[in-house]
Amino acid sequence: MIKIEKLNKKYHTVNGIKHILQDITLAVKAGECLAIIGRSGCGKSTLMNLIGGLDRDFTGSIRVSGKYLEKLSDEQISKMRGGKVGFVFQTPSFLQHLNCFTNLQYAARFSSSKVSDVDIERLFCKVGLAEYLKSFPDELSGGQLQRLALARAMVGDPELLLCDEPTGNLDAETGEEVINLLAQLKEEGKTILLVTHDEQLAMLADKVCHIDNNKLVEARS
Amino acid sequence: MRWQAVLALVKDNLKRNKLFFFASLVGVVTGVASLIVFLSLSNGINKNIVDKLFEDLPETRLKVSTDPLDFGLFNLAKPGFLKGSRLSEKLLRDIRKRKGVEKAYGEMIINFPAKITGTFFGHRVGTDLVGSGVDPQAIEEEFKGKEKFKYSKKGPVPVLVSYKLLELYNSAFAKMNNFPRLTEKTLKGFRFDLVLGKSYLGGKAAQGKIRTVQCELVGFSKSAIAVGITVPLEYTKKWNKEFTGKRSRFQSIYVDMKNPESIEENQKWLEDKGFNVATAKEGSSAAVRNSLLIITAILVGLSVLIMLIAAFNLAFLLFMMVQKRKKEIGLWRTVGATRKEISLMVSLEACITGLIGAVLGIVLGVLLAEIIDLAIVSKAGQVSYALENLVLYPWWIWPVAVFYSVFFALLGSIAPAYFAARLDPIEAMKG
Repeated sequence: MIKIEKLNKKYHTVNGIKHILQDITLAVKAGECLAIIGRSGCGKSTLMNLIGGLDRDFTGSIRVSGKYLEKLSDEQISKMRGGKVGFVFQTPSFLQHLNCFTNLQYAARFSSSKVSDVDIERLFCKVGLAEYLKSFPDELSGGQLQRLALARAMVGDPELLLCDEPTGNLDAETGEEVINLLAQLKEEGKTILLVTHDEQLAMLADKVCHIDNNKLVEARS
Repeated sequence: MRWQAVLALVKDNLKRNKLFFFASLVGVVTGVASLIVFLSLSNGINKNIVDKLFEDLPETRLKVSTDPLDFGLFNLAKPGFLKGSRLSEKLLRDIRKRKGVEKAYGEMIINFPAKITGTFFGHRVGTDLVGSGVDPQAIEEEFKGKEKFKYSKKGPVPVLVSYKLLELYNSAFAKMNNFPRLTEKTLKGFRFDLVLGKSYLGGKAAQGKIRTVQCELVGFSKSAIAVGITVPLEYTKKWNKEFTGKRSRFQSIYVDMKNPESIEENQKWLEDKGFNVATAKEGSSAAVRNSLLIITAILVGLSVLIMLIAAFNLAFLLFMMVQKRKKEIGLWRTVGATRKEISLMVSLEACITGLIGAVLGIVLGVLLAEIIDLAIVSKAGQVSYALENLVLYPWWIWPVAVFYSVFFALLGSIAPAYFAARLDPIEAMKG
């Protein structure tokens, strides 16, 4: 599903060039769940953004679903994001003036697959928010919002889920709701890449990698 | 391109930010309205006034000129390399000798700043001068009172005006200013001052001392300039030399044919010599039309300037909107929106602003044009030049207004659309 070879990523800072990822090589099979852990600023989120095609400034090779990201145009990568990849961020962002259902409807319009209103309703049921279809995002709790974000990431039924600290802003109880949902998605055969500090969430992964000194080290498999 | 998705975002955004779009509409509406007013007025004047101003000119009168493009009030100096055949005294004599020619006379425009001032029925009036000079001999058959229309070093400058000018005065000017109607008889002998070397619009002449001469209206003539004064040729020659430093030439030669059958042969003879020949009706109206065209072009230029400011304003507001929606744009990018779609979203917002601006601008423009029309026509009364409508809306004015509005709106959207499309989704998500 994901194959990364000799990936290098650097930033230009006022103090010169800063290497954030060096010679990263990684392979994630379809249906596998990988957790990436490491201290803040080590490059975990950067790696996730590179895999999702949000960041395209790198050297080396990233292959997602058999496609080399470095060879794709912006349009092709965007369409890949709209069909094969779903994102969940630490702080989910929604359009506050639209209700939850419409928020997902808008996202569905950019999906490469055809998504009907019934499909969206099913997603609401799946994440346990069936009663909140017409609610507005500011009426939902943090845990509910993160579940809504998971539902949005699942619009179009993507093969790959990229989750950046999905429980980072949640207390233990609501975090568990999200973890359970991710476990359910894993059971369904989704490939999941988790960037986390959360030990409990990392337990969900088949494989745990650690980024240290800009290098990726497999910590547990 | 997922149009449905983009259109949904555009609709939502326009709904959410009405105030922003209303603010950006002001300039666009003003620009479109000004375009409608200027074009409809110009078209109306062309069709309802210019066409009729020269309708009385005889069909057998030819106007011979050197310039294929006569810009009337805005006669442009022809570059040296383009100067060819000249309208000389010799040519005039040759024309007079031709078979079928009844008479021919040269017209020399007063081509330096001058203005007319005077007291008219207790009111101080003044206007910039449009004037020409003709050879007194050329009009002696038609004009009775020829002894008065000649060059003289002493006494007032004799002036002729056209019958059309008297008609215009009686039907419009007199009514607008509550002045009494006049007849040829009552006007004869009327005196006024002519300031040479200075005008209201043209400023000062290139050289010569500004001075005032007294003029006296000695009569009416079909050969007089339609709107303006006509003086004996000798004055024009002398004054043009005094205030421009150059020897002036005829701008046009008018040739009256004995019958329509003589036109073709003489026209060909003149054209073979390199002159531009048209009937006086066509030639004179073309000159006025060209003047009007230049005035319209200047006014449309003003409207374009308004639209450029509107486009700049729209660009600024769209930039603000993009900044405000940075996080949203980042979000749409993560769920699959392409750069082109984001760019299209901003451009469509501008395009819709342009369309709404066009509709409102057209409504406002028509309203303003009609008010102007009403104000002028009601004051002017029943001018014989059919002032039923001073403004006319040709069919093409509507699509032009829409295109004009959308074009400038899109122009204003180029930079913000580019900026929105190039936003780094990761940075944008941070807000």
